[in-house]
Amino acid sequence: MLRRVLALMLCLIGSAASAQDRDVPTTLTDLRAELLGLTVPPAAAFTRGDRIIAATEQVTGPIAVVGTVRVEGQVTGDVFAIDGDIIVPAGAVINGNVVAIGGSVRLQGGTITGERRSIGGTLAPTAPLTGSALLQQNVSLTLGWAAVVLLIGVGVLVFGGRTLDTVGQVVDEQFGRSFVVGVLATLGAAPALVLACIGLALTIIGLLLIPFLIVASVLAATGLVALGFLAAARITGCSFLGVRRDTPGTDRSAAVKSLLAGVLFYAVLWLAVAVLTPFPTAAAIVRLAAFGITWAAVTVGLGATILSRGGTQVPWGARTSPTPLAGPPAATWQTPTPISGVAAVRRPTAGTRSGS
Amino acid sequence: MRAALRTAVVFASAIVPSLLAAQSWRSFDAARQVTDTAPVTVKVAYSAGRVILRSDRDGDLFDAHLRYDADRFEPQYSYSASARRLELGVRSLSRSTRWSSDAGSELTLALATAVPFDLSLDVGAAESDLDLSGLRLRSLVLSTGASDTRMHFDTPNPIAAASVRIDAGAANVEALHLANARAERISVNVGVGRVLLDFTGEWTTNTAVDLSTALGAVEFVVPANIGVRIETSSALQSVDFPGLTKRDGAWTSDNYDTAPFRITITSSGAFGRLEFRRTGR
Repeated sequence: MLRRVLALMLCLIGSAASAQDRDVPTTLTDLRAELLGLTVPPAAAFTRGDRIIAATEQVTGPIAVVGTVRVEGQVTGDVFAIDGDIIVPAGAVINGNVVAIGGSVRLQGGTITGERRSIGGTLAPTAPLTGSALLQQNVSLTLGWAAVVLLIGVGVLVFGGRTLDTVGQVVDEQFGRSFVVGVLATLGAAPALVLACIGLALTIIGLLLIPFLIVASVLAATGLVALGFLAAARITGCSFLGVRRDTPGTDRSAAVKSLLAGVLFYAVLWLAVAVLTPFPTAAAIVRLAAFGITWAAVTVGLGATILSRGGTQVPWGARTSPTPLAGPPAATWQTPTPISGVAAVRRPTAGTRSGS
Repeated sequence: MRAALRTAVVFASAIVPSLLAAQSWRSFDAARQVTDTAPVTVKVAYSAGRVILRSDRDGDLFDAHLRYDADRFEPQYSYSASARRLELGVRSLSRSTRWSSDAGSELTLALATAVPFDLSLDVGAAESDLDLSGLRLRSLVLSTGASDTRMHFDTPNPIAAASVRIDAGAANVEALHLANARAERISVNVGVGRVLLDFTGEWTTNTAVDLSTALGAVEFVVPANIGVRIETSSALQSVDFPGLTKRDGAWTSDNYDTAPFRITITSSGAFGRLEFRRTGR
């Protein structure tokens, strides 16, 4: 309670004291919008305890009270109450504004010629975070983002494991080429979109399609970047765990572990930035490194995604397609049909069919 | 595989809530008693949350209530007694990097029934219930982006509205009992949203509607005793006008020449869908 009142007093001092008082800039801004247009009395003008202005009284304001004010008589000037109500029963007249901070204005038949305002709820200053609070927020944000990326990655692994495998394979085998393609895609995306919009703008129907093109392009780019980064993260994780990178699809457990490791690697980079928050210079250096490494991963991943046509095919120059996921083995023999004829018939043998 | 997957999901699930920080809800109320009946201009700009507008029955010129997350927003409020102008809304502080919901944000505005208003509402992605019953509206402008808005005149406007304009981007707008607005001219612009224009209510004047649609759908509901004429300029618009026949290049009701009041709808736009429906009253 006392802390709350002190905070509010600081706020009031701030709003009354103009820009000279630099000690309470955050409180200045805190209720500034709510008190806009009003002349708030200085903190010294506030009296403690409830106050009643009797029906016979005529008072010239402003009246400033930490507590409840009951006006039964007449007030010329503004009335301020902190942590209390302002009650205006029938017969009372206030020729001014009434402001209740942390309370309410209870108009019970009286007259208020000015405005009545009340401010409630959380009144503690919402100052920008500093020190440990800022550190905690940055760490939480980093871990949160890592978790989001990981959740998306697990989803992609479950529903599009082959796609991720293919992009990962391209990242692994055509790193340089992927990087170059990624850089070119990054540089060319905006001009290409502008050109496409200009092209569409040539016709009325095309003009209507421009918003859809922009939205679709942003969604597609986001998907490509996310897929590419996940693939790059997984290949990074494979390197750390020593998992074979050429056949990632054969072991889903290894795939999840490598993805986890990869995402954690990038998360740790940014965690380091967050942890170094109290040391701005060191944080800036580490942030630069983290940004560079993450940017490289995103760019390579984007390039690999483009080269592999969104993970649907292995580009020229890469070795082979990744080993298929667990499932029924590919058919090793073929039954002749009227359409294909009897090109070749290979009966399964013990070596090609498990369990036989 | 399962153990690794479970580990990843548990880790992620445990961390994600850290982004969802607690919000600092604050309320702000501002009101002023009626002192005269000179017209007042009201501008409301609200981006997300819930907007409620209604008439005031406590003798106030206006009674505004805002509830907002003080970490993310600050109120925008000003009233000029000399200019007779009220502006209300919230402004984003853009300093919070946390994720938080707009659920719980609210703007409630009650306006006097004794004072004429020029009302302008700019509602972003909010859910709106605009009860204009009993208000003295000289003009109304409703601009909305992606909101879900219900606007209704349950009782007739005591004065004739000079104009009513509805701009619906991608919103779902229901404008009910529009005849009670007593507007001679209504302008409607629809982007990709869906708009219901219900012209039931107490008819006191003929009404002209200028309609512009891009890809949206508009449905008209008109009482059976009102004459209807709809002019469409685009061949690409999909229309469904049961009971209307093409006459002199416009879709016209049989009672157009004999009806006590008429509505003329002029539609322009490239695409979209127009539907027409009769109602008993």
